[in-house]
Amino acid sequence: MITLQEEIQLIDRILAGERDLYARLVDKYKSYAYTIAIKIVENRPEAEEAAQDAFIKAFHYLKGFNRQAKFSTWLYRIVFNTAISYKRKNRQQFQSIENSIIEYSVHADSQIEKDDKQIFVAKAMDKLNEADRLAIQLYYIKEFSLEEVAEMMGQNENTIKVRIHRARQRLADELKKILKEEALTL
Amino acid sequence: MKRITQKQDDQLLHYLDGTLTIKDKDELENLLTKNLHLQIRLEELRNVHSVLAGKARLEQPTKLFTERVMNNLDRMPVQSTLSPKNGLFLLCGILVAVGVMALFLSSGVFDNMNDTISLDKLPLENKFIKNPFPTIPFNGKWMVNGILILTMGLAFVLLDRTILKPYFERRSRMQF
Repeated sequence: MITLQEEIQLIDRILAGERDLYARLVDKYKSYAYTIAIKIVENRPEAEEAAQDAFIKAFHYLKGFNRQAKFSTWLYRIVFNTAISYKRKNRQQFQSIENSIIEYSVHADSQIEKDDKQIFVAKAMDKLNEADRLAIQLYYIKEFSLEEVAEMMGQNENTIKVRIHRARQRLADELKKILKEEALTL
Repeated sequence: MKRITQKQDDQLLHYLDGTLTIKDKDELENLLTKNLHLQIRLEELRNVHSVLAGKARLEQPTKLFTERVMNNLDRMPVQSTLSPKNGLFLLCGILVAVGVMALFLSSGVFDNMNDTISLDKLPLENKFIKNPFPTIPFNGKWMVNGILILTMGLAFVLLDRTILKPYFERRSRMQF
């Protein structure tokens, strides 16, 4: 595990020409970057490509990285912007079903109730706008702090906090509506 | 049904997130024992909270991820040839030029630039030419007007690329 101090030293050495050391930074942050990308582009191969692209961009812009800031936050912002560009670029393109993220699969019988709940929440999530949906998804990944989510999305912490609160309240309201409709159709 | 206030709704979410102070938590728990609507709302929010928390996890990329990044490190990221800063400078320059030209135009500097270009005066042999060449009227004011319109068009394109497009992209990124 690399500490923040070691990270700065590592960046200095990479900038001094030891570019192979960049692999250590990639290894440390790849799952974070991939998770952000996957939440945005919602397609695994594309998310992997976007995350790799973001690491390459970060390497080229490393000289301009401000040492006062956290490398992770700076990197996540690059990943976020790269993934948004990918999403825009490929919005019109056909999405293969094998590559799309299918969150809800068939589990054992004991899981049915839990799965139903997940399906209804997923339905309710569709009613949210993309920014709210993404903010909520990133907020619940415990490895990302609220500050990091805010920085990533280019908004201040309070705005994100309010956004997440309102989105969850809306989700609860939508869920109530969906459950009522389901009950009527039974 | 007794309405739950926005503040109470927020308190319930803080309660689920575990971010309430001990005093606020005790107060809310006390209120919950007395208020059935609040209990129902807490259950609704808890359902959402538990599903979201249960789904949230870090995803793992493929094993070759790092290797692929390292192999492609020399690939330059696609970059716009005109940075916003340079574009802004250029835009300012163009606007100043347009302003100066407009000032000259309005003061009538180009009004006297009227002439005709006579092609007959060209040093050509008259062996095969029977008819005289036409004369072409030249109006300096119209020419400057044309240049001005072209420059304004260029300024508009720059305005779009350097200010409007990045601005709207940033806005849509916030909502996307």
